[in-house]
Amino acid sequence: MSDNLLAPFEPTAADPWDRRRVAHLYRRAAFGATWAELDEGVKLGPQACVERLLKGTGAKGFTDQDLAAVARTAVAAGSDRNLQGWWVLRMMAGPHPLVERLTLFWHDHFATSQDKVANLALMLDQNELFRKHAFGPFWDRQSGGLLLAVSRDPAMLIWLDSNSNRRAAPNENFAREIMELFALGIGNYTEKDIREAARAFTGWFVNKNQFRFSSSEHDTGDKTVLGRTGNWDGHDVVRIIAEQPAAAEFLVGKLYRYLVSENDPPDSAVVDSLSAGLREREYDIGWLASTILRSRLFYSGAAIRQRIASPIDFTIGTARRLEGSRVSPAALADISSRLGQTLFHPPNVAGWEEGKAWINSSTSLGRSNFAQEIVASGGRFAGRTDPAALAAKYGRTTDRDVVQFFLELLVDGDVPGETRERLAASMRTPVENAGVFRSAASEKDAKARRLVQLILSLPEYNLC
Amino acid sequence: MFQTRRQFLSTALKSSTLVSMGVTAPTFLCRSALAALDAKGTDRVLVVVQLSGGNDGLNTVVPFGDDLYNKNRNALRIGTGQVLKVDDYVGLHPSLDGFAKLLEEGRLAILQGVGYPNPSRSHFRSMDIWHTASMAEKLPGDGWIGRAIGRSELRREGTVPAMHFGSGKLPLALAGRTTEVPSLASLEDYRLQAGSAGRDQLTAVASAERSAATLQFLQRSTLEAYSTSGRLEEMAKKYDTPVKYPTTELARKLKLIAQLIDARFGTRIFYVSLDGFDTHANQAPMHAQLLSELGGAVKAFVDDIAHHGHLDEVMVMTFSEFGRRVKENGSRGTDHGAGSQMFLAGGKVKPGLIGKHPSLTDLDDGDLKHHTDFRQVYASVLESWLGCPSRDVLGGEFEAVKIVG
Repeated sequence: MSDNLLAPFEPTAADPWDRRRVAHLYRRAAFGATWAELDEGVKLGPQACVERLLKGTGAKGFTDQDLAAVARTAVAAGSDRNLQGWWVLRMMAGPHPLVERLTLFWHDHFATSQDKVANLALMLDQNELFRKHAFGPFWDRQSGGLLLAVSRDPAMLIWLDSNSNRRAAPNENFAREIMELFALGIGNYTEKDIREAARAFTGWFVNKNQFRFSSSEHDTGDKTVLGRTGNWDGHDVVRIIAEQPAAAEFLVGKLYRYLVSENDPPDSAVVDSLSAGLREREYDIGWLASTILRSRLFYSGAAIRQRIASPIDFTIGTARRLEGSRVSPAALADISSRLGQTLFHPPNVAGWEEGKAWINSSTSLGRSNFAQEIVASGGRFAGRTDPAALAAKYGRTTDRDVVQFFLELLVDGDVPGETRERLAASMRTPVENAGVFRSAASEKDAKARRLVQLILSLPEYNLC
Repeated sequence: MFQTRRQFLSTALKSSTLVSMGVTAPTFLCRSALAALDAKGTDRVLVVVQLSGGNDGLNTVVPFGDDLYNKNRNALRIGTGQVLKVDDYVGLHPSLDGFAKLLEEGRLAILQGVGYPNPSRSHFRSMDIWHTASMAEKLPGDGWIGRAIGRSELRREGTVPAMHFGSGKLPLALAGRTTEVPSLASLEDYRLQAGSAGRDQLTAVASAERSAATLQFLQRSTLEAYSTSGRLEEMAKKYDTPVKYPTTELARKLKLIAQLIDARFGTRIFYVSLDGFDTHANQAPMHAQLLSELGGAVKAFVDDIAHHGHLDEVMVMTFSEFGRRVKENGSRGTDHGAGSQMFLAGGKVKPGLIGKHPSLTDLDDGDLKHHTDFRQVYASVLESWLGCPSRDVLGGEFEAVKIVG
């Protein structure tokens, strides 16, 4: 059963490799596809298309060197907003969108906020750590992998008060969260495990923005953590935690929710098979992501549009699909923030709750307002998108073709018949003189802008 | 001066929002607007203030008369000379002078020793327990307020039964199965920029029936936003009050709530949060600041409500997901504990201490033991304040606590 679901997807007449499936792949493994990327993806076929995303799309856009310079400038200027903009730029136009996807996953998983860390350089370092370890290993015997690196990361140490973790009085904050949120999940440890683990982490400090171990503050007594007793230190505890069978399942469950579906929980056979594979491969996240992205499961109804677009998905995806390459990344970061997702500022150590939690009437209004702003001919994004020109670039000029083009590009062409009719009717209705689109170059231009605004405001456009 | 409910509704009825929706608009909007015209404005209101992160109850209502308190709180001790005495055993943290004044005025109740059995020390699990009023292994997806506002006792068509003020996600307590509770960062932000013609078009394209549950959810939220924002725009004109609110975020939100209550918006439950109580290290200055924000904002709010003649219609209730360990840690902070106190404020609360301070000798693994289940407090608030049967909302019968004086 699970082998079947996890076997590579092979197109059939009933389940073709089409724009809809390419769009789905790009929504989950990147940040939305342009029309050209959809066409190209269809030509490549499923396995080559996934391969391309795993290797990085490279080419156009910015190089790692360009981007590193932007980050350094933002940190030097102490500009939180510009650092957010830098990351948005990486997601929009960087060489490796899947790495950015996973970096965002780790940022959410090991949620650390600048609100408390109050040090942009350390936040950037942590972000680069997530990027470097994006494909894992989550943990391995030689290097300790991402889990150990994060446990020693200065921003994390500050965030979870490890920095004041003294022998005489261990601070339980990090010990609790590594078990509850980072590696095992509730039910797989006891309160006593937390207290004992906190003792093992005593003496881990940050000094001059670097990790430092103070042996005089380290508790050298025996500790019993998850049933194992010894004079453990932090490295040992990270290893003991990572060796728990629950760890692989916890991670698989979380990545499944992120890449596949936040509606239905995964089939237990799928979790078992992925967890076993992950353990065999020393927590190779690249293997896990690649197996999921290639699978039949991933291209089935159990996955397609089974997530709600996060503010980052919503804002960056819109800019990418409309090919608004000159849209200000920092402005998109601001909007994402207003919609409930501020990069480098997750709400708490559990990260963003995601799913339905993104949506309430305030953020729904915000999304509608953004839909208008991004296509308005005036305002902060004035001239950054041009829907009529975009449709024309791909050979769509009649009203009917333009409506069909944007429905396919933005919502997989999948809306109720009544909605489709109303959208078509909007193309026959003059744009109001006093409206926001009045300064458009022509009536055709204005109508295309209004059409896209309406589609971006549909319930369907919030699905990812 | 102030817009009355009647004036507001007659404006709203004329405005394009209601008129233009025609057949595609949910018909309840029109019916309800009429129904609301007949409603008396005496509905009682509950304002929930969530203290996120786990408030240190022991340094909030301080048992200064107990040697064990002094022993356990070496660095964080609040001395007899500093507390704002409530009686000879407990006193309020010195930054809670707003609460001390409310207490003098007979407008504050302090429910001591509130918690639940087998407490979780996880922020998330414990907060979810308080939000869902459930202790099941797998918690329900809706919250106690979400369930309460689904009931006819709290629902008046055309009004928004509950509202959240905050920029974050909607608290689970407010999640319901059929109603989407609006969440507002501020009234100014809560505006559809498309204008009224745009609103009509957007409403029309979003209104076609959807069958998938997630799409229905997205659709409800969007349509609710379009209609509520129209109403709020009418109301957000101006509000006069002689009360000087502190310049804090909590005070700003409570002022908006006072404004909506005075405008007879019809909302029965408002929800706000104050974050930052997870004081593992260097607790003293942060905690003092938070309590000062809490006391100052609630005091101003109650004064404002009283000034506008709604004192007896409003009750404020605070809670936090847990208290903290009796013994401080080595970082001049405190780690996650259990049980704590709840505050109630308003013209009708039974003032003073309710219930004894939990013992500092009889501890549960270093934590205070509760004697009152928080669901008893919810039951009391639902039944004796909001007039809503609590059994179905809370999934059982809970013995009421006398909270209305």
